[in-house]
Amino acid sequence: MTSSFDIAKIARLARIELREGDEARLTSRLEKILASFAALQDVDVAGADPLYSLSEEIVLREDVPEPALDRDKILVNAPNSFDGCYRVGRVVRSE
Amino acid sequence: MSWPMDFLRFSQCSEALKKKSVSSVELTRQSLARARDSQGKYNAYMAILEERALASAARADVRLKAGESFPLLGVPLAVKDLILVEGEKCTASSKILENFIAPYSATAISRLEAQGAVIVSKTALDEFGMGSSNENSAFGSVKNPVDATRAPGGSSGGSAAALAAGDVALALGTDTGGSVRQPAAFCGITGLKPTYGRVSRYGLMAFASSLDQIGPMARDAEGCAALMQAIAGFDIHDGTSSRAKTADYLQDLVTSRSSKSLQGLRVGIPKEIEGIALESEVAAELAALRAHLEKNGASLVSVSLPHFPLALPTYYVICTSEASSNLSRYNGIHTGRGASHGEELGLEGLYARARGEGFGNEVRLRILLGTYALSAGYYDAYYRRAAQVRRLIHKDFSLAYRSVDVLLTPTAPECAFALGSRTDDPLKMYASDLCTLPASLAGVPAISFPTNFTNPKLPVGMQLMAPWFAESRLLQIVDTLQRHGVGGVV
Repeated sequence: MTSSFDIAKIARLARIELREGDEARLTSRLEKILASFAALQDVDVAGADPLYSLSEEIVLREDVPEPALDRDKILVNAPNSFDGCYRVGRVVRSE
Repeated sequence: MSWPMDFLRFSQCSEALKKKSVSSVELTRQSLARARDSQGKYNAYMAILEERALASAARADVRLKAGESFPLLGVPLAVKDLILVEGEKCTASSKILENFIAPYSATAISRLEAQGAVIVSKTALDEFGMGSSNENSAFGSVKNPVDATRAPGGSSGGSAAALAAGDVALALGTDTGGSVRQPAAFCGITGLKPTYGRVSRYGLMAFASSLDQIGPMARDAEGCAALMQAIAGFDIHDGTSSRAKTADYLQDLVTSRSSKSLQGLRVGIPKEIEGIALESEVAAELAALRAHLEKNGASLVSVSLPHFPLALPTYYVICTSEASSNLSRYNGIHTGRGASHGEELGLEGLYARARGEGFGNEVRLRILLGTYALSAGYYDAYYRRAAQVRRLIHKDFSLAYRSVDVLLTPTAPECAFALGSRTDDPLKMYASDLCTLPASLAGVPAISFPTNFTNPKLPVGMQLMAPWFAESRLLQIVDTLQRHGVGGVV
């Protein structure tokens, strides 16, 4: 298992803009951590189903309308909102 | 009426309130004053909720006068700032949520407030719960009240510090890989991680959804039992919450006091602990506790959980993968300060800048790690494989519980380490959770409680793990030990 990777690509996938000095610092830390994960590759996992969730069942509530959260209480947390909506900068470029 | 020492424990608060020797408003005022005083010393709080607290205390006094008798009625409580309390800020100790105001309350909070508990403060944490020392907060480290040059542990270090400072008798923490238990050990208090699914996660900001649990923290097992009584149980708003019947945690504890509850108890000692380098004081306390258990009629059984040593890589692959997905919701548009941006960034550029600016170092590191583990070409080798090893760890626990009632390990391999001593070495920092991670991965309940047989210079915590949903067993055993004087709680 290779432990070197393209940090710029991962940062792009994660939607995280790297800061000055991040590339070297994070790469070295991540490589160390990934190297410590090597032990997982040596385990005999034959016949072991992946355990993704500990719930015996996922419980869903009845599909009946309930009062929703108050829109104003949600929007108060947006850096920019207008008329009950989130407002963002223009995202469609004109040709 | 003075607070010192009289109100460190839940039962002291509760009894005084019932006897009307103190009112909830008086108790709350003292708790608030102590919190303000200790904030300058330990930085344990994100917020002290004076107005809310005094209003709920006044309401509690009316209910007390009317003869209501919920155990928590009128008792001050600190809450980790990762749990939503409607109308109050909830920051996750992150810049990205610096001004976020909770639009609703977590189920655990609604239940506690319905029973009349008085929320006095929101406590600091490692950003989004990611850390073992509270040094990953965007708002400065929390200091350990036992020794302010040392870390209080993490990530619920603020809650543990609030208890250790004697500001409150009860606190809520959250535990993903040991975040209730390890700070409990470092600060000399008691903390329980419930079975996964036992306490609703609704209104708990998600870090790693298959592991996160809200857990009670207190001076003693009785305080933890009182909190569990209020917060445990099925919640339709959490699809992973369990319908299994809850125990009567407080009553179970009282009932067990009339029996010799350690007689015949089978305590498993995982032999894999031998492979972990324990600090000498921790090893000495473990040996002394083993002797104490045996002297009181418990039998010690050597057991093997062969995959125990793999818990660390397994946990870090799983928790970072889940975190990378959960934290994708913070994009600078729905919440946050907004990025310093111009339109030239485009929408994705705006997300990336808001996240790059808003998340701290450890959170960015873990999101990147999780993104990598889930990315095409690596998913099978990391995430899927870790989930398979998690299955093996889960099986180890099932097998072990066929021959023992509980498992015993230290909570952490060491006592509280010096602030700043591990921040440059994430692997060394992660190693502090070696003993707590297996129970998190298996989803079993586990409790940390202080011991002081050998007069250690700093608090030492021991961990007991029980089978799924056997929280009462853990609370009863620790209550019995604490009534023997173990850990200094009499």
